[in-house]
This record gives sequence, structure tokens and C-alpha cells, in this order.
Amino acid sequence: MSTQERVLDVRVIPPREKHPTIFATFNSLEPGEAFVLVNDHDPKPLRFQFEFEYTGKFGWQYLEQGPAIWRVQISRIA
Amino acid sequence: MQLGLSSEAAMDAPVSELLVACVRRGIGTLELVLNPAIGPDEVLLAARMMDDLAVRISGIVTDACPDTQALAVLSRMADAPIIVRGEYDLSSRIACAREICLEGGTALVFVSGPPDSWLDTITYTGVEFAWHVDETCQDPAAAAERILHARRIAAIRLAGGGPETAMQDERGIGALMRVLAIEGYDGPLIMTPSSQRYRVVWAAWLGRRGGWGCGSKSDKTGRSVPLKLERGMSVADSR
Amino acid sequence: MSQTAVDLDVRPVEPKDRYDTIMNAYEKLRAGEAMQLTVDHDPLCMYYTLRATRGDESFTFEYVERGPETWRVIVTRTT
Repeated sequence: MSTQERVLDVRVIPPREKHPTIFATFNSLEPGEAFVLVNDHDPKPLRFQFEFEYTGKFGWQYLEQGPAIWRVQISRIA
Repeated sequence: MQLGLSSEAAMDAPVSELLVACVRRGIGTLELVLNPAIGPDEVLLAARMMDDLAVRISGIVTDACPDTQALAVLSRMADAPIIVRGEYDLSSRIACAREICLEGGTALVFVSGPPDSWLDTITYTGVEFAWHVDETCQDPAAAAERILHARRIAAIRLAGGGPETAMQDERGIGALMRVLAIEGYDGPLIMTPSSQRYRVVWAAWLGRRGGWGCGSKSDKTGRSVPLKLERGMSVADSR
Repeated sequence: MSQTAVDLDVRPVEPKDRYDTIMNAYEKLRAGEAMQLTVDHDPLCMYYTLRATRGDESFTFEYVERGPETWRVIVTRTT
């Protein structure tokens, strides 16, 4: 299973479930694991939230940056 | 997992406009539902147009199963599975899907409703299936976990998404998406309107200009094609 | 007491356009002015965004309503 990509496309998630789902998915990971977030815009505010609430515990790597979709690999470091 | 769009989102739109909408919205896969406006020729035209685009056909939905050989040919030429739907019972849909596979195509059985009503039969017969998630599924995350422990899901259809997303926070869709992500689901997730009464908002969301549908200057390039595929019907191959 | 200069309801705005809409409205505020932001989810991420990009001295962020369906926040620009 570790070779399968975990993809969370948030475009179909209702607004008030979106961030809770993202953080629940992150918290479901084991250290060293990652998922790919897919969205229709740059999730910068989310990144700021990770930086404040999970300082040093997450990795953030853009895989795609528009024009239509953004894909970010978010990894759990610890 | 790859987000997709069903042609049911704009039933009288030509496939070219559906493809433009997919590209604009960053949607990687398109499901085509056979109906009077979309027949085998339109499916193959779409497949050809997709050669230059980052969009693929996720499946071809049929609500009738009169000619499994023709469906198998269509499946092979479009490089996409037939999704066997229709108002007949599960065993009939399974039989149709199996025949399509025996004829050299690929097919998925459309299933919806509580897994209790179909999962055991699907598991026993070993057929691949497309799971349709709508409002009758009260806890889609729990259903997904149960299904995934038994079988691989080849395709998922979500009644909603798109412009309906903001109205659907009672349906547990976030929880479902978390399960699919953690379990590594790698098939398509096809958005389709939960009701045709939402067709106006879907049309706007898809970037419709000037209107599609009744009372507007709709694009009349769609032509009538027989819903019933007849044996021996030539499927034009003009690649 | 800050004056609410702007009433910004982003619920009808598509998610992908909300960030720019909110930040543009914030930029137009003068020191001492506030905007009331109405959203369909907890705008905590906007709090973090403002804090990271503008510094936590330059605004206040006061919840007036906290769901379950609607969130309303008064964002006051202090500098």
C-alpha cells in the first residue's frame, strides 16, 4: 500500500468540512507518510495554518501549481 | 484518485464543450452516458479529441444492454469500461457485464444503495463495479471502509460535487474522501448532478455561454442516434 | 470602537476566488477601519494568513458568530 499515492481532492468537500478533513487525513498518517492535496487554487492559507499548528512536523511540496489545479504533497514528519 | 465529470452534468451539450469544461476546471476524466445525444460515434469522437488533452474517458454508461458485442467493440475502441446501469436487477446487470467482458471489452456493474443489498453478490461473482454514492447512503465513509475491505472499487460516482458542493455538508462527504485517500483509492470519482433540477447551476459552473437547453440558443450539433446498438452497426473508425 | 467599513459575505464566492476577495478588501481598509467577514466555515486559516503576512500587531480578529453554519468575524486593521 505504501507505493500507492494517497490523494485527497478537496474540490468536492463542503466548505466547513474541508480543513477538518485535511487535518484528519494528516493525523491518520504515520510519520514518514504523505498524501497529495488537490485543489483548484493555491492553498496558501492552509499552509499558514499548518505552520502555526504543526510547526516542524509537516512537509509541504508543490507538485503542480496551476493554472487549473494545485497539487501539494503534505507529509507527516513526526 | 482522479476527479471526473459525467456528461449528465449537461445532457444536451456536445462532447467538445464537455471537454473544454473539463480542461478549464482541471478535471482529468469524463464519463459519457449513452443517450439520444451521445451515441457510439460521439464517444469515439471524444476519444479522438482527448488525444491532445489531458482528459480521458472514465467510462461509458449504458442504461440498456441489447448488443453486448457492439458494447465490447465500443469499449475497446474508446479504451474505457462500459458501466452497466439501467432499471433492471443486479443479476441482469452482472450478466450483461460478463458478456461484454467475454466479447473482449471491459465492463463495470453499476451499484448503489446499502452495501448489504449488493456487496455479497458482487464479491461472490467477482465482477468489477462502479459504486454510486447518493443521499440514500447515510454514512458513505463507513460504507467505503466496508466495501474496500471486501473488494477493490473500480470507479465511484458521486451524486453532487461541482456547484452542489456547498449545499452538501450533511452527507459525510469529507469523511468519505478521507477514507478514500488513506486507503489509497486510485480510480475515478465522477461528479454527476444529484437531480436534473440542478442543471442550470451545473451549466453555469461548466461555463456555459448563451445557454444550453430549452428556450435558448443551444448548440444543435448533437444529432439523434439510435439508442439501441444493432449487431453489425459500423462504428466509424476515421482515425 | 472601530467602524465597520465593509460587510463582506464570501459565501456566494467560489472557494478559489475567496482568498483574493478577502485580501483585496483588507488592503482597502484604513487604520482603525474594520470589515465584517461572513463565511460558511471557520476562517481560522485567514487569521493565520493575516498573522503570517501582516504580523499579529496589525489587526484584530473577533468572532461574532461561530457556526454551526455561519461564521462572522470582525477584522479590524490597526496599522
